[in-house]
Amino acid sequence: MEGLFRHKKVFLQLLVAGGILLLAAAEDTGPRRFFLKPTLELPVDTVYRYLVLEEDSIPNDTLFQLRSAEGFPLAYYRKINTNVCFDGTCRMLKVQLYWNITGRYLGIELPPGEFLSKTDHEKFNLSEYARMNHLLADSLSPLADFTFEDLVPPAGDLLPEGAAAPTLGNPALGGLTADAVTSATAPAMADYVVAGAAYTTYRLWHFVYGPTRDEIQRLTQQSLSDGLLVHILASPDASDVAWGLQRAGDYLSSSGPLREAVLSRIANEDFSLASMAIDAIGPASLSSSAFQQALMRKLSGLNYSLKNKLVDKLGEAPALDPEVRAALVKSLETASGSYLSHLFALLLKQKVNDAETCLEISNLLEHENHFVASQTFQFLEKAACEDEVVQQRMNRYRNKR
Amino acid sequence: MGAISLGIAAPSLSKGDRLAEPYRTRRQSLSADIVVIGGGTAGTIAAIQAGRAGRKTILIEAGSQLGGTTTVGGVAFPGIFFAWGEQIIGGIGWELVQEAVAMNDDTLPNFSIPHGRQHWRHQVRLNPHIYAMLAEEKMLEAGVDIRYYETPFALRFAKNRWEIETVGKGVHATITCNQVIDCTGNALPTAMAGYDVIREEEIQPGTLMFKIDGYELESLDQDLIKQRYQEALDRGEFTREEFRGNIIGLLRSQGDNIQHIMDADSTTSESHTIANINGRKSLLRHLRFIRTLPGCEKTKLVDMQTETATRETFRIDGHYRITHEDYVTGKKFDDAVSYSYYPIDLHDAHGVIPDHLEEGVVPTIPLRALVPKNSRNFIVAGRCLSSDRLANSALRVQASCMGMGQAAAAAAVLASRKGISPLEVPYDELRELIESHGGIVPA
Repeated sequence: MEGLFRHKKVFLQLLVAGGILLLAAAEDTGPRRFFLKPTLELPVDTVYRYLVLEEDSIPNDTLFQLRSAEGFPLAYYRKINTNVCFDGTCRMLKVQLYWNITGRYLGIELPPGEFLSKTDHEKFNLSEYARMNHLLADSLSPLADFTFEDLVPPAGDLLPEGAAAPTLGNPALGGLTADAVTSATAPAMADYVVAGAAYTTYRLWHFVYGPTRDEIQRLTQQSLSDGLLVHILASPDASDVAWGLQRAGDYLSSSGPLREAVLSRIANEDFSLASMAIDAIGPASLSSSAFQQALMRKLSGLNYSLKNKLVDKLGEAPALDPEVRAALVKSLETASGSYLSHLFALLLKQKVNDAETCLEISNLLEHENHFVASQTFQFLEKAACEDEVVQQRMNRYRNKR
Repeated sequence: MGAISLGIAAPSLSKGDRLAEPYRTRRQSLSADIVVIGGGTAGTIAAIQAGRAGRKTILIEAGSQLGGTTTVGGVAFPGIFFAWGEQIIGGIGWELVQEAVAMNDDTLPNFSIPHGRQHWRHQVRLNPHIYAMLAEEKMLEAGVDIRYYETPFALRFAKNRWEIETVGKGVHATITCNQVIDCTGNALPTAMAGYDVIREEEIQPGTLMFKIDGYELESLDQDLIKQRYQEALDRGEFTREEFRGNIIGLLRSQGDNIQHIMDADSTTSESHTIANINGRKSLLRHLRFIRTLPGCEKTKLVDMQTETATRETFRIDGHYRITHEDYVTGKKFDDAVSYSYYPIDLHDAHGVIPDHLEEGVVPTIPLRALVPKNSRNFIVAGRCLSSDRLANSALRVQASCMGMGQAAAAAAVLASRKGISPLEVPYDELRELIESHGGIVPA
């Protein structure tokens, strides 16, 4: 379900300008906002509302999507109203949680007069808000795997009588609340929570990485386009780029800038992103000779792991460009180890078995390294080259073994 | 009595049966350029490297398959290949890991996202059975002569050649070669060759990997279970060391890398037999106990490795001993041949609290730490490298051993070609050979 209202706000652009975190207003006089850098820093033009049907521990059922004038999604947020208990006294925590369009945590906004507080009723100070922001941004936090019991030793953690503790769908949380009473956070977990606010950290983290995140990714995916992907691939955040590369395959062939953006990620600096960029390339793109040649130019500068992966990718081409094929055959002369095996596998996949190429390759049967000679022989056997000279050389190798 | 006598004198043979010749051990003489002893984490990589570089290579493995800790030990998450966003261990080890992951439709972690203090987020989980088969395929493809079920019992060096005597099922072989690579992890061949090896008074515990299932953790009365376990501990039915006294931890993890077997030592058949028996006894006792707990009556043992994997035995006394200080400061050695990257990870009776490296630190391994003092034509790879105990607790991890295996083999290949010892190999040529096979040498 989707609703729409126009908002003409520009807060995203303003709040993130020049840094990771900004305090937007003086204490207790306006909303406080703590934000990371979004993928797109454009003015907000429109706000859409979506009814979240997925089971979630967030009581409010509306997910808000902010969009730019171009129609690009910019961010999402949900209003969180939940009880947090301190020494038997519960108070309503009101915050707005923001997500980036790729589903990562983006920031937190506290309405005027609202604040986060700790066990001893103390309000968060600025550094504690910054720490909370940092902890919520950690998608790999162990908070994902640990129960609340792991976080806080049970002794002394029982809720005051009559108080109902939310369990986040986790029975281990029933009857427990971290920021209640005086229990210390387990030492091994202290790195992952704000001191004195273990429960608040735990709850907010699980809100951020709960079902809403999947819904956000689904919604952004519905809005994907070549143009939006180019923006995402230019993000300084590696997780955004990874998100984009994992979805770029379907859009790749039709866009020059997108193709360039994907190609630019095939580099030694980041194995995972380079790997995803290679994975994004499909047969449609590979049918272009120019694209194959562009990949070939990349090949020589790549490290071994990526080289093999790129060679395997070229094997998926509907047909090898003659120049690329010649360059690959030439590179056999100096190839070693598994790179040699990958090159031969590519040539077999591409059904390369013409007499001229086989003759050139058969020179390697005389190689001093028996592994190279043996790999060459196996290729020639599988390729079923019928050239007479090649056959003679193969027989000679066979007899010599 | 008459029937028995008759049986001994002339066994009755059915149609198609054949009476075996009287038993005798077959003597064999073999020769190679390089012999790799131990087909575990490091040895697998070393043998493939030596074969691919064109040397006639024999691998001796006391067990039935390749991979060691990764496969037989069941620790099928072979350490960390990326540090601070950059790949630091590549080559043949990484090639195998990638292919095992792809063939099982598993996914690699996103190494672009820093793991922070949770180094295990960058661990690659793989199917150990696929890994073992791929390793074997690649080794055969590299022309390596694999000899399973065989173990050395004597090493002699004369006239620039090693003579290794091995024994296996029905076989007593004498293998002559130019270079030996000891990848056993426990440095037994090093000791056999007469070089010094070192061991701590107390060694880290071993682990028998297993998996249990058949209960719903969330529906269990955990307080009651904890109480029952504590009572059993108090009665002396279990020791705290086995699962750190944490029965809920065991139930939650469903096994995996959680059990501790104290004094587990794989150096000899006898010591490893004891480690295996102790591992299985501990598990059986716990399984029986768990099945008495309310809600756990149908607990099943889904999987169990065939060996208790060990963490620490002997180390060589090498030309250089890597210290804890070297490791945590990421000392760059002039003769560095490989990287290592893992927290200091010393297990003891209380468990383990990894001590993480400071941001940007990537330790390196010098060639000298792989070569025993006073040795010729001899090199080691894997956890028995020359290092102090704390450094070794991180260096012993599989990815580091893979990097070492490739580097040691490259050194042995060049030494074999030139008729020299690994320490005499020109460093630039060594770097070139490792890199041409995808290995990563510290800059």
